Amino acid sequence: MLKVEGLRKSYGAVPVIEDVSFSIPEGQCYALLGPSGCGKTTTLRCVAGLETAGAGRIEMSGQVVYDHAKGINVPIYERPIGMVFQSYAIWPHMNVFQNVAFPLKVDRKAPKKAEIEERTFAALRLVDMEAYAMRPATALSGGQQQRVALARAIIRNPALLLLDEPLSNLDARLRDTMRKELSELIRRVGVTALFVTHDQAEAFTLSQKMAVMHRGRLLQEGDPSELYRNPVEPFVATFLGAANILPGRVVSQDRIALPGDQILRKTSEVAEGGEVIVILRPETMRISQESSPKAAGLRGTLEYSSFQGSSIEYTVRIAPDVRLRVVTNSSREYAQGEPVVVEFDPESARVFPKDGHPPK
Amino acid sequence: MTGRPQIDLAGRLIPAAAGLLVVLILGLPLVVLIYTAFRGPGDFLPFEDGARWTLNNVANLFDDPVILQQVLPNTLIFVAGTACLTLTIAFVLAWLVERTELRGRDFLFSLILFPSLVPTVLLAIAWITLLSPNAGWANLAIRSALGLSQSQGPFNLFNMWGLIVCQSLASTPFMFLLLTATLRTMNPSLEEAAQASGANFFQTFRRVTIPILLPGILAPFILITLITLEQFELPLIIGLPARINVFSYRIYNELNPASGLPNYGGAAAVSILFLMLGFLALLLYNWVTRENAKYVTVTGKAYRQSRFALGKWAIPAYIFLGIYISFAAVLPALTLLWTSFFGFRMPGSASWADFSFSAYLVLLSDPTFWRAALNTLIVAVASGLIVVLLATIVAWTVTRTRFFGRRALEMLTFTSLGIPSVIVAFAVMVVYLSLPLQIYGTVAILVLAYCYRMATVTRITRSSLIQIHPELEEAAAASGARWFATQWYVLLPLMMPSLISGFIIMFIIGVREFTIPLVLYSPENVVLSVLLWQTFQAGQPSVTAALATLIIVLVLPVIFFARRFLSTN
Repeated sequence: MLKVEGLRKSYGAVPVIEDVSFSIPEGQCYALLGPSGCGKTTTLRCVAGLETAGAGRIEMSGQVVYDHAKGINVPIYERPIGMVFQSYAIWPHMNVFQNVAFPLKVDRKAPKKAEIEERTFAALRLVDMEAYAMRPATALSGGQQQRVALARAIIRNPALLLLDEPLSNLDARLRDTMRKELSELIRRVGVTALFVTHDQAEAFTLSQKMAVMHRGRLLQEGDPSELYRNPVEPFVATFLGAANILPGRVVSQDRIALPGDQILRKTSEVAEGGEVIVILRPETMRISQESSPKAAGLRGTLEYSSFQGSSIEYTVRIAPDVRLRVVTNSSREYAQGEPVVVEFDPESARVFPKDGHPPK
Repeated sequence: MTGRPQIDLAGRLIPAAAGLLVVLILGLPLVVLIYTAFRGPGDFLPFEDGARWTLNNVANLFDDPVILQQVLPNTLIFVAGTACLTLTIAFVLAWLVERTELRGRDFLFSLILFPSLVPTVLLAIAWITLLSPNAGWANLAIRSALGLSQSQGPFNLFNMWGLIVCQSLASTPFMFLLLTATLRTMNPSLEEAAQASGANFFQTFRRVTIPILLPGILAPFILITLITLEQFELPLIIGLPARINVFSYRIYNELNPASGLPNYGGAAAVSILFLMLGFLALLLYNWVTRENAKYVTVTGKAYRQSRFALGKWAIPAYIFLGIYISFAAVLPALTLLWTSFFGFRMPGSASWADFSFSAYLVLLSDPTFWRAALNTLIVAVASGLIVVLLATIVAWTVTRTRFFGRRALEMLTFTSLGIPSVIVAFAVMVVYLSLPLQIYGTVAILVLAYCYRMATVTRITRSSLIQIHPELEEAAAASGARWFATQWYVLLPLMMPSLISGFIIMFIIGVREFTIPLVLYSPENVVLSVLLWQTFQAGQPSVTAALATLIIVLVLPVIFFARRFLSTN
């Protein structure tokens, strides 16, 4: 449905997006995830037509809307899109009805008044805001604004729905409920959607497929669990969820030396003597008493523990200046300064060569 | 053009047309003025047959003892004195109104604005009636009360001090508005922190309030310097009898000499000298406001200010307010009202037999009055509408696009702030005398010349645009709206309050304007302020006063609107 190929853009000499390509099949929801300044919003704005890329090609529902080589650049108001803005951009001088009806009103082939009314109310019904139709936009809560923005974005039956950080303007508690609601709504409408976010939880809940961007590049795409489990670059691993990053050195084909002269038994594709980065997720590890006979893992001293309700977060020092974060629901409490063993399945550790190239 | 949404044809043509108009209105007269300075002989228009290139106009400037020994020093004393006195009066007033528990603050606020709403000529006439050394009513009253036998004084309006005080009273409202805005945006917790540290009121004021406000006061101070430099009414009406020759009058005199032909080249040369002074002040202003942006203590945010109880200082405060309001508003208005009915017979010596409506009847049956009233309305409304429209499009171009030349456009509108109205009138005169357009002497030329005040409105439209989130417009485009629909349905309604206050300000400026219509005067395009001056010159005190009273009645409703609109900008 949406096909983005080789998109590039720079502000002056500073590249903002470099060679970004991806495609979204009909009816799917696709997330661009990355830290601020990674180029995700610029990519979205280029797809919308709010910005013009410097190279590449964008195609939506079979229509080429941008092709640098052929000099095609369809202006935003002629692209089959609907957009939800980060600030929601609800026009404060209009009421809810007027906001939602606007796209129909400015349409060159504007429908009759009765049809506008009918379709506007239908859109409002979809987001459960029918009762608020005559309310001034300034009297809406954050969650209500988001629904109105969504109704306005889908009223034209766009081929593609674009969402720019759709939940970042809400407070934490509301964000959780709206996340589920939004996901449900997009599925109900059945529209193809592209959204950008810096929040992995948002991407995980809302998207069928997602991509992680960093420094203008699309590093990896796939379904959420695949990205979480098999990151191809340290950045993807660290950005998706918490991670411990340890420097290591390959001493033989299946042994990696970690700080404190501890050995991790794991095969890697890096040649002997090569420097590596080892990434361990806090929730894949457990803590055992050092004296326990079966204990196998990294030895260290428990420095700090913090009760989190359903789990306990431990900080374990495994070498001078090297600490591990471990999150577990262990029932036994450990004392500060107690020697412990951090256990984990070596399969869950990810190893990357230090110079940054992804493993083959 | 990369980096922004594509803008359709209308979205490019309309700003381009507006930009071109702005260049024609603001830029062309300036270029012609500089050209004129190097064309001679002086009584020839620059494009006239027989005019040639010459350096004489500029050379004469440096030979002229009057300019070096009178005009320059007089102008400097006048400007410096007025700027300092205005700042002092306006700061005390602003502080009293914004930061103390003074009673009737809203009412006082409106009264303080009075001098900025009526033509300065009107105030000057009232002040002369009250304070002229021989027959001024205040002087007569004091002399008879004290049994003084002298035939003059004790007050004399016609000297440098008189000029400075009058100009300061007239300029105070403008400064007052700027300072109340500054005071309102000062974070009160800074003062509260000083008081919580044990500082008393005067320690807080001296060590915290003043240092924090200083940068915010400096910018208005430079602006008032610039504005005083261009003042013409009071130098003409009070300065001329006192033989105080400042530069604005000098230019006027080159164009309207007591005998002989106008000296266009000479006027242009003097203009350029003072344009350079103005430009210097403008650069300084620009620098100061940019430095100010670094101080985060005074932000654009309006705070709820703590107010000081005046206590035993209430009496001096009310006396100060009383004196300012008496001389700036109440006494001039009452004097004119009285004179319109009783002529020059002062209160006390007049009887009901002297009371008459005849001045009003004379005025209302005079077609010139109706023509002037209509012209004033047309010029004020037309220039207001044109300026608001152009200023909005220019501000949009500057803040929302990357169009070629937008910075130059911004510079040009900003620079127009530093160009005195007498020079504007002169430059417009030369342009339209030289162009084969038949608009010299018409109302249209006044409309064009009045549009020179665009910088006042671009400031308002610009700050309003900056406060409107660009996503509101992007959302319209993403909803399928083209450029014009986006502006019409989204941007204009959101900007409307600012556009209305911009229009009101332009309207008030238009009604008050005196210099431009005087220099460009013809019987056809006479306006109320010029008519007022003419009837005063013709020695018809009660008709003059009747006209002045009608002007006051016209602007009285504006006073109450102004409180609402001006105080928010």
